[in-house]
Amino acid sequence: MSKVTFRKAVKRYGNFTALQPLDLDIREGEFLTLLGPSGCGKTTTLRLVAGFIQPTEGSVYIGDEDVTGKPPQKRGIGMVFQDYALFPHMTIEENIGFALKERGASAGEIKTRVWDLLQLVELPGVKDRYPTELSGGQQQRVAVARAVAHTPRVLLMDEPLGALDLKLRESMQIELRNIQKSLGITTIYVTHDQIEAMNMSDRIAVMNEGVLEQIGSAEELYDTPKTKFVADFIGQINLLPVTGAEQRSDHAVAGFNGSEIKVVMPAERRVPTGSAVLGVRPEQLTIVPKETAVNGANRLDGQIMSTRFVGNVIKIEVGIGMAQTFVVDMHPSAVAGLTAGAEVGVVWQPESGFLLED
Amino acid sequence: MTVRWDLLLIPSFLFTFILLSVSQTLFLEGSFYKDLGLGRTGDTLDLVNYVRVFTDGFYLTTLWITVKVSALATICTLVFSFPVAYVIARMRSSWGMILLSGIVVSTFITIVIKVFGIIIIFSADGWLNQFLMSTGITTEPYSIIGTQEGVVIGLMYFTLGFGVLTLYSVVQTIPTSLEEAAEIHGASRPRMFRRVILPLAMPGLVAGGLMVFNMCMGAFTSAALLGGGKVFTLPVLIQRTIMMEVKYSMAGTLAAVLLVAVILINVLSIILIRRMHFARGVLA
Repeated sequence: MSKVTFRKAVKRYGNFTALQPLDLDIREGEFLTLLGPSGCGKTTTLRLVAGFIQPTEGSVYIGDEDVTGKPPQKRGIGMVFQDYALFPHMTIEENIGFALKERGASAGEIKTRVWDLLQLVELPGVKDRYPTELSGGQQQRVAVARAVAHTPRVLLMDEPLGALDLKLRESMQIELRNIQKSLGITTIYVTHDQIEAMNMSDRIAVMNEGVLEQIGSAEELYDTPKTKFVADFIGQINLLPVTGAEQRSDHAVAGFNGSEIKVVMPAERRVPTGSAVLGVRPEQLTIVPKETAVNGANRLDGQIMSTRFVGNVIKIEVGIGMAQTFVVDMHPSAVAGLTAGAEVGVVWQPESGFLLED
Repeated sequence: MTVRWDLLLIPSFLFTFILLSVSQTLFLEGSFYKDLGLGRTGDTLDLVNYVRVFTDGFYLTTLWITVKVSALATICTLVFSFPVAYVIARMRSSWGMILLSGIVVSTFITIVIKVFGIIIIFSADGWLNQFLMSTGITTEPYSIIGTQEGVVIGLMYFTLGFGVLTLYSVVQTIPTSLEEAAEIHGASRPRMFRRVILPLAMPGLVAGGLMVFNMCMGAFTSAALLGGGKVFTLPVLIQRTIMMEVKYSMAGTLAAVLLVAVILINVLSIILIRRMHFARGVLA
């Protein structure tokens, strides 16, 4: 088990910068997810740890060892690939024992280890089969077993659940997380699926256009996103362009369509100096009759455009002027009379909103 | 009403079938009548031509030389074309396509022209010998023309492009993630090549190898020109038997022997490969 550290690591391809200078500390035994849309640099970051590519500048450390320039064979890591990358001409036993054989383990050692690992991934009795004879989920477990067989210092996973259907993906998320915990192995996981990231990770590093936007636990990213991108990418949010944002004594204010909006943010958060957006989550909003006095809370009046039933909540879209809408999550029991066309007020507490740089 | 597109196949099938089967039947039938020379044949069915082929040392040597130079050329072609095919298949830039087009173009230039290139450079008074002798490295001209080595080189020149094109598509079917998986789990490049690329490419290597071998066994032009009248392979001998000796039924016999030899070698190779362990899981 080792920590992984990036020090000012940059990756450029000609004029294109795939990864802007990255400083990142991944802790020992941690499950860290690199999350972002395609082309955000998350796979580049993973491949820098793997050694498939080398940084243009800066360094990568595994444990206390500077592995910059070292080939993948000598890094002592394991990896699960998106397409599983199981060797089709080898049996499951030969696949899982691959790394051990390369390290000169005896046939007996390999046999015992493979048996243990097949118990761990709950696939006893498949050792003599070939990968094509297993289902996608089973192949995925074998790929995990192969990646941890030689007790690597770090486990890398590149969108390993992408090819599975939704139900299987959810159960595999829990299972992968349990395997990782039982082995206590430092894991770097790449995905573009924020739910998956939130389900599995100790911490999530959100990336966009080659830049690490923010790193933190799922709660931190959800409750206190530092950038508009993170706010938008993690969970659902209403983002409202506001004007004249400024800090007053104990709260901040900003203007929208002639109304003043009050925002109370934790002391460490600054009001942006340039153009700003107000962020507020749909579940923090409630709907009241139009022009209700709200006593210290914020209220914007508007008209219901549509309502959508999604199971646990009803999503109500309210037009609030200037071609902007707010989505409000309401409990299905509290929506009597809230139909498209109704004139209403949308209300939220000053503590629920935050101001972000646009 | 359904449109029977498959009916379109009938004219070309008939055309090919008649051309091929009629001539081959005549040829094969002729091989079973005694050759009296000068285009005359006996009038009773007879195996005398076949007996002669398999008892006369000259014909047996020719058959052996044909198989030997073809096998050597096949091995050399595979060895030389695999790295080229591998590198081109793994190229991510547009250079891969440019190089591949170059290979296609040069492959389909007629072998006559290409062999003359070899002759210009390698013949006794060719550039290579002029250079070697003028610099005093050698005192006597050495020529590959009229040697078995020369024929092997000619056959390789004929088949290299086909080898690269076939193996290119073989390498392309092996995902790079398999290479990465092998490397990250501890295999060096040579080990990765031996444990992953080679076994996965083996069915393609066998198929490509057989194709190249069959082309070599039937190759006339490069064998005739580089053999220089001194090295005889079966196709060269068959041409000679028809055109110079005017022994039609003997030539038919030789052609039949060539055909059967090629089929036998192909079938045996496939059976052998099927039995090998590594084909399991890939051919499945």
